[in-house]
Amino acid sequence: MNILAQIAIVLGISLCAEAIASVLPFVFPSSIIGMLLLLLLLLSGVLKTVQIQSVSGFLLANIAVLFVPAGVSVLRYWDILAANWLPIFLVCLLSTPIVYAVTAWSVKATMKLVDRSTQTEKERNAQ
Amino acid sequence: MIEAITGSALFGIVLCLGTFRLGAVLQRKTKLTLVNPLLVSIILCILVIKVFQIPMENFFKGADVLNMLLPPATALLALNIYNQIKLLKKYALPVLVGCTMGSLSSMVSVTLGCKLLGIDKAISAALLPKSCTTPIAIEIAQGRGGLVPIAIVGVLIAGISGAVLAPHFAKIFKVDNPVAEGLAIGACSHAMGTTKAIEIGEVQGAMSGVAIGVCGLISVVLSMFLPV
Repeated sequence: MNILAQIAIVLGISLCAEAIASVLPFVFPSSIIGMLLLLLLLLSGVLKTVQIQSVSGFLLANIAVLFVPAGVSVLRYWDILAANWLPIFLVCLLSTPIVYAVTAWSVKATMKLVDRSTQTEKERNAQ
Repeated sequence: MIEAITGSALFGIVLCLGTFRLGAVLQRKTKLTLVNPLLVSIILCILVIKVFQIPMENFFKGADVLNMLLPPATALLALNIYNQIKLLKKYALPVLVGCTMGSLSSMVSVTLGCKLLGIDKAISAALLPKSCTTPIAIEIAQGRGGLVPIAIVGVLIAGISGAVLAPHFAKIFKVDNPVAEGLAIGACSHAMGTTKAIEIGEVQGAMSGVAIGVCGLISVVLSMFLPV
């Protein structure tokens, strides 16, 4: 599909998401609404992945560069970071193995339960 | 002349793209997870801004253009979920339970750790989503009144530590199931861990990718209900 059309679709979805976020009765991030909206469009077949292939491929492959500005703004909070770098580092580092172990063990336990369980649960799983 | 260059809106964009590309090349050459392109780029940009005493407004004239692309790029993460929909359906319950428990354990451990070390609320709120992928972490941190740049620092520490330690974790925690291993890597260290998971194995890579999206969505919902 034409590259301009692809850009228009992708930005249009984000624009719709912002509109939806503005009328929601509670605060919910518009970029996550955009994500759910796109997922809905794809699952319902309204939108095909090929229709946004070039733009999505380019943006997703290079998404990390978009975080540079936000990271550089750490300069504005330099004093806070300098005063707290060790506790910040420790909390984030020590939490990593906890999350890994909890996730891995929950998945293993659930798989065991699913395997052992009755037909009804297997059907629910296959849906 | 330096003023003419740094005063242009193009300056911030060129600096971000150039340093990021340099970081990517450095990582390919050194093969070190620690030499992360985002980390290298942030450090080099800060150095350039400090050394040439460039006003932050000048840098952000261009850098804000990159910021503008963040919401559409985040929406595109839906493709990662959509492309793995078969795996997601096959392991729906383990994925859902694993990602919920993983996201919850991340938020609880961060909250407790911050309380224990007496970390300020603006920082603890920023670290809360540290296991999520960056765009989602930014949203959660903002929503809870955390400092967004600190959130990125947290995401980087979680991502790099998980990517480096993932092979060791599998041995220490005796995880031999590839589905469990992939989900665990994605849950604790998002896209950075996924790069490592892809190296470990095909199933691990795919499941780690699934965990990024699912954990992100679950974390957004959890962050709305989690008491302070």
